[in-house]
Amino acid sequence: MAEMEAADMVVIDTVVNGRPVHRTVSARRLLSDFLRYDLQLTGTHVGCEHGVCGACTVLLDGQPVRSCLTLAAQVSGHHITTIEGVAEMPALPAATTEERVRHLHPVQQAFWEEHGLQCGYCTPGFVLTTIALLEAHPDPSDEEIRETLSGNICRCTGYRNIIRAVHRAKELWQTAPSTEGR
Amino acid sequence: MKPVPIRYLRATTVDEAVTALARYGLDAKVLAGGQSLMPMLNMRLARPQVVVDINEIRDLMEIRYDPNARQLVVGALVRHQQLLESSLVHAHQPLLSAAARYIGHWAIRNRGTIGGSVVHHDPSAEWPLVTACLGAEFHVQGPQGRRVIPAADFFVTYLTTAVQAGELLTAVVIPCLGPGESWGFQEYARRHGDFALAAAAVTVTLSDGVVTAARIAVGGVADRPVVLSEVTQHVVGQAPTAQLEVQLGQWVYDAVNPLAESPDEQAYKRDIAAVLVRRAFRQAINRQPAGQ
Ligand SMILES: Cc1cc2nc3c(=O)[nH]c(=O)nc-3n(C[C@H](O)[C@H](O)[C@H](O)COP(=O)(O)OP(=O)(O)OC[C@H]3O[C@@H](n4cnc5c(N)ncnc54)[C@H](O)[C@@H]3O)c2cc1C
Ligand code: FES
Ligand code: FES
Repeated sequence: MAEMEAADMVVIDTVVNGRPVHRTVSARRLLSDFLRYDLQLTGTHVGCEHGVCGACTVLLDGQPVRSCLTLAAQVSGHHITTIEGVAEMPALPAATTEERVRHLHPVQQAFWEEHGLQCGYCTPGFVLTTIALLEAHPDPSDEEIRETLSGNICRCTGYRNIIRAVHRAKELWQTAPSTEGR
Repeated sequence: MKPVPIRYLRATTVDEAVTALARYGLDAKVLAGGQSLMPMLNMRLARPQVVVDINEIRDLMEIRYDPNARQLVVGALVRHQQLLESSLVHAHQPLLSAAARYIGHWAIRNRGTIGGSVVHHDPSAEWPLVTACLGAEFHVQGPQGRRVIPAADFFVTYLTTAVQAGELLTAVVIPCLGPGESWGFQEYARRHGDFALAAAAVTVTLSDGVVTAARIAVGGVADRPVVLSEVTQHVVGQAPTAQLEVQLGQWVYDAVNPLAESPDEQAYKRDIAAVLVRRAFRQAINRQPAGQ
C-alpha cells in the first residue's frame, strides 16, 4: 500500500449546481468559504460558523448539511447544491409567464407568496432544507415540518410564515409531480 | 472563526487510516462527521496539524444484524440519521432509533456519526448513554492491532475515552432487545435539539408479572453516563406497581450525584434524573406485550 501524504493544498473535483468544478484549495478551507470566496456563490450565508444557525445549509448529495462544518476538501467526488442552483431548477409546469420570468422554484414561489422571509439572511438554508424534506417526504405533517426546520434559526419572521410557506410549497409540489427538484 | 492551517489526508480503508494515524501520532485528528471536531477547529479549541478524513471508508458505513449473537454491529461511520431510519434498528433495538431522534437537528444528524459521538464523549450526549445502558462493545484498531473495549471501561471522563491516540474506532456492537424485554427513553433539554440537561434509558424484562431483569442508565449528571446497577437490583423481583415507581424515583434521587454549581442546582438535577427514570420505566412497562 502506498504511503499517503497529508497535504496542505488539496485538489478537488466536485459538481456544484450541476457544473463540474476543479480547483486547488487550502486544506483548511471551509466549504462555506469555498463557495463564497472561491466560487463567488454568496447565496450561501454564514451566521455562526459552529453549526447552530443553519444559514450555511447546502445539499451534499441531496442531503442538507452545514457547509461551515465541512471542509471543501471533503466534497471532492460529491455533488453540492446551493441556493443559486435552486434558482436554476425547473419552474412549475403550471407557472404563469410572470413566474417563469422570475424563475422561481415551487419552494421559492411559496416563500414569496406566504412572506416566509424578511431580511432573507436565513432563507437559503430554509429553502434548501425544505426542498430536501419534500423530496424525501412529499406530504410531511405540521409536526414533521417544525421538527425538520428546528435546526434553522430566523431572527425576523417568528417562523409562522415560514411554516405556512412550507405548507404552501407542499401543495405546489403535489400539483407539480414532474418538478423533480434536480 | 477558521481552522488553523492543517494538512488533509483522505483515507479510503481502515488500514490506510490506521497507518496515517501511526505516522502522524499526536499531531493527527480523525475527522468523522465533523459535527463536534469542526466547531472545535473553527473556534481553535483544537489545533491538529493533520486531519485524517475517514468519511470515504466504506467498511465503516454499515449496520449489520448478527442473528446468532443477537447483536447489531454498527460501523463507526454510521450517521445518526441512518440509525434513526434503519429498519434493522427499528426491528432489533428500537431504543437506538428513539434516542437518535433527540440528537441535534436533521443537518447535524445527516453528518454526525455514532463513532464520533462516543469518542468525543460529551457526557450528556445520547450515544454514550444508550451504549453504556445496553452494555455495548467498542471495536478499536491501532498500530498494535485490534482490541475490544466493554462499555464499562470505555467512557473515562468528560471528552475522554479508552481510545488512545493512533487508534481508530471501527464498530460499536450493541446487544438487541431480548425476548420479553422492552425499553424506555426520556430526555429533558431546554430547547428541542439542544444537548440534554439529563436523559434516561431503561430496559425491563418481565415474567409472570415480575421484573426479572432491567438496565437503568442516566446521562448528563456526571462526567460520564451512569449505569445504576444497585438501583436495578432493588427493582428486580418486584411487580411494576405505582408504588415501585415512586420508590424507584427516590432510589435514583439518592443514587445520582450530579456536579452542580449550587445545592439547589444539584437538587434540581437529581429531581430531573429521578423523574426521567420513572417515566422511562413506565414507558418500558407500557410497552410490554399484554399478558406479561
Ligand atoms: C448544533 C449542534 C447540535 C448538536 N446536538 C447534539 C445533541 O443533541 N446530542 C448529541 O449527542 N450530539 C449533538 N451534537 C454533536 C454531534 O452529535 C456530533 O456528530 C458528535 O458529537 C460527533 O460525531 P462526529 O461524527 O460529528 O465526529 P467528529 O466531530 O468528526 O469527531 C469528534 C471526535 O471524535 C474523534 N473521532 C471521530 N470518529 C472517530 C473514530 N472512528 N475513531 C477514533 N476517533 C474518532 C475525532 O477525532 C474527534 O476528536 C450537536 C452538534 C451540533 C453542531
Ligand atoms: S454558519 Fe453554519 S450553521 Fe451557522
Ligand atoms: S428573514 Fe431575517 S433572519 Fe430570517
